[in-house]
Amino acid sequence: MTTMIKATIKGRRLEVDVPDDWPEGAEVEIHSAPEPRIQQRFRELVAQWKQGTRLLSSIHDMVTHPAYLEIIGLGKEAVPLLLDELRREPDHWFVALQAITGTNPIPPSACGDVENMTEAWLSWGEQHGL
Amino acid sequence: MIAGFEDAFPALRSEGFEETSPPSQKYNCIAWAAGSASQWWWPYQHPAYYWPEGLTREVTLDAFLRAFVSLGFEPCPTGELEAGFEKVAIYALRGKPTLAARQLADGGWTSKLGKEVDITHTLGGLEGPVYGQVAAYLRRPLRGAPTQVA
Repeated sequence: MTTMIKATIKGRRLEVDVPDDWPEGAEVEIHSAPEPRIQQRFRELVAQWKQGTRLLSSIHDMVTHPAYLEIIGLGKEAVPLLLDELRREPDHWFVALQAITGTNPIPPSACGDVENMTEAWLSWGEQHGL
Repeated sequence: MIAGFEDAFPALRSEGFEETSPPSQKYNCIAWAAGSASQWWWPYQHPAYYWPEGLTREVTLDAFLRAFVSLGFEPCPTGELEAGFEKVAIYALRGKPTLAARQLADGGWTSKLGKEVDITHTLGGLEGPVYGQVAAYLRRPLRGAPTQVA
């Protein structure tokens, strides 16, 4: 099970309110949020890419757009941002996600179906705590 | 008119067009021309994108012609309305296919513009810097084709 909760770094300690239903001894993974600077740049690049590719049918042209390539270049920090973006507005982020993570969770049955491709990546994200 | 259309398609307003759907990321012009409103068709090497099975995935006019031939179309010389046939026009820019349009019963054309809307239009209305020019026509005997987004 994956649940997102907020924690705060105080000195070198992590302060977190543990939900009441978390059992004693449960294992917890911690993923840090991307830096605000990267989040801001990501938002700028998404806006540039959406504007620059809105009339295109070509996946080749979409994924070689300079903004898309820069998003791939952000590396693993871009993955939770891309998944959030997919939650907000499904779009063609699948090639970027595969390029960064090295995996493709989209089953053959979802081929070409943007909604199901999105669902496959969001499920992958949940399995990885993202 | 959706923002930016006039710059992208200089002839669209004078040639006449009508928006016939909301924007959608679910399908593209190739799927729409082929009769699908639920998939994004493109011969990208990524297996997640749909392309007719067994056909070469490359962005060439020949590859796109083969895709439509696999659906029962055959190349034809013009986009004139012909009784008993439906037609598809493929646009290309610098030799690369960019858009497919499907002919309607009245001789007009319908296209899905990237992630934007579907429109009805003339072939000349979409020629220009974004999609280039019509590079090929195909036809097949008429059978049911969707007239609106599923």
